[in-house]
Amino acid sequence: MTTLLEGINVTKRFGGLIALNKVNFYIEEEEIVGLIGPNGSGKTTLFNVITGATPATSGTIKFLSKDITKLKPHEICRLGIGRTFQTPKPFPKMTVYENVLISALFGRQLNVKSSEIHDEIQELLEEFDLAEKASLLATNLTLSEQRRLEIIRALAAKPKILLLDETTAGLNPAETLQLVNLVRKVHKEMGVAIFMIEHNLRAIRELVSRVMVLNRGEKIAEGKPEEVARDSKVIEAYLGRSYA
Amino acid sequence: MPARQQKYIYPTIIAIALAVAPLFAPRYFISLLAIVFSWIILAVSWHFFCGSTKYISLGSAAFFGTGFYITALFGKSLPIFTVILLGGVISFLLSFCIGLVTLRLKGMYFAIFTYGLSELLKNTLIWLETVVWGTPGRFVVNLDIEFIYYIMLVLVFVVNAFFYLLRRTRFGYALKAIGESEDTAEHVGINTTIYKTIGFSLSSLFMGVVGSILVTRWTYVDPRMGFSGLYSFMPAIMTIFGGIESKYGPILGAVILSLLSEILLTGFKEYYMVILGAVLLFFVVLLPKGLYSILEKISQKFSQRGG
Repeated sequence: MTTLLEGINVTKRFGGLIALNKVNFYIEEEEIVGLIGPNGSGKTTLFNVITGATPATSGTIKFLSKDITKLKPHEICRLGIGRTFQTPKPFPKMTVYENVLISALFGRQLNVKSSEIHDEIQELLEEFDLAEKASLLATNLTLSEQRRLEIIRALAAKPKILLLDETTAGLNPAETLQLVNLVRKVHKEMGVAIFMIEHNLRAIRELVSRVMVLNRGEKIAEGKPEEVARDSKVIEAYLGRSYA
Repeated sequence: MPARQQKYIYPTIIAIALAVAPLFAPRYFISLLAIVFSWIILAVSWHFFCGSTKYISLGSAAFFGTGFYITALFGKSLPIFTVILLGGVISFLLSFCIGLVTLRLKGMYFAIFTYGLSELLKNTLIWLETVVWGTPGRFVVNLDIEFIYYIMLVLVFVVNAFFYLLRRTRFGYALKAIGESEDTAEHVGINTTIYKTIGFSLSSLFMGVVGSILVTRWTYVDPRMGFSGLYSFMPAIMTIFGGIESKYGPILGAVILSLLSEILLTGFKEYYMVILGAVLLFFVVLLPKGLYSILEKISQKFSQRGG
């Protein structure tokens, strides 16, 4: 297997605060990797650094062996890295269909015929159970629907890897299960690699092959979900020393 | 009659009436209409960029003034259509350079910077004229008012059609997406910097063209006239008054406010600013979505009753 995404000594400083400290990571093709850690540990910052929203202070990020550390978000998107936001950020006064259309129009490396795009979008909307809401304004969707829209929007750009930022936060158990199943299905059918931030380790335990744990900007553990769950450093980070 | 054809009846009648108006109407009326047209072009151009991206520019006078002064400088030595074109192109290039630098500013900061910029240009020109060239102002080439009227009339249709069609392209979608959520726009592959800059420049192009034509109504001009704050604020005020969310909003706002200004200026000169201010305040507080939003509601009521 080839390495898709790789970070070497990735560091991000906000003034005096070190949000990420020499973090190393890699994602292989078609892999699903989880990223967990307590609040404020730098998970979303890592995503922002990868997608170019807030460029890294030092260190290197490579995508298919190409250095992408200094690229702009739109360039990174076109190379094949899609993302969702923790708080959904749709284009609120556009329809669900238009939200996806814009990503399909601008996010790809090659321009495609509009008739083909239409079919693809329709397929995605049906798969994610949003076909009936296609002509609604995005602002009128429920949280669970907006989360699904975020994923479809990212997928419409045909990414090779998808960064999911707490896709199940705030959803009830049934909605969480639905989303996890969708992610599994998308991964299987489209062969897209997935790097996902998640609080709910139980929800993704069967999904991911590997979990990375961040605490205060440093990587403290990495491995299979059950190994990480037993790791004393991880338990200490979440619950305090006396539990470790 | 099919509804599709019915839709075009009123615009066609209005267009024909306007085209033959100079044959019958008094010169004052033609001159007034030419001014109304120029405000429509300014407001529609402003609305194209600022309405879709939600970047509020208060620097329209910089681009209007550039066209204005290009004609003042070259109007007597070059053919008039060359000068008008030059006014548009230079405004485009100027706003392109400015856009690249300033469009990373957001909200208030962008509004204040663009306003400061038009003031800077004005004062630089005043300094150049008085200190370097030793002329406080310039005599301008004069054009017949009917000629101005027809150019403006054609431009009103050209500008509206141009921006209407542009909104439906990839480019128009990109600007709208930026206005809806710039973060998301960047992350779905839109090169926001370049789209914003070109959109801003296209709207400035027509402001420059209007400036370079309108200047010929005066015989003697100085930079204070072309770069007057009026041209920065009015396009924004007219659009917001008419309804920033609709494509008809800027047209409606420009027609009503420019006519209102004319009536107030001729009839109640002392109270002009007070009354205009009161009217604006009334609308901003009670109708933040603009005049067009009431018209829409009324027409909905009527169609419900009819159906």
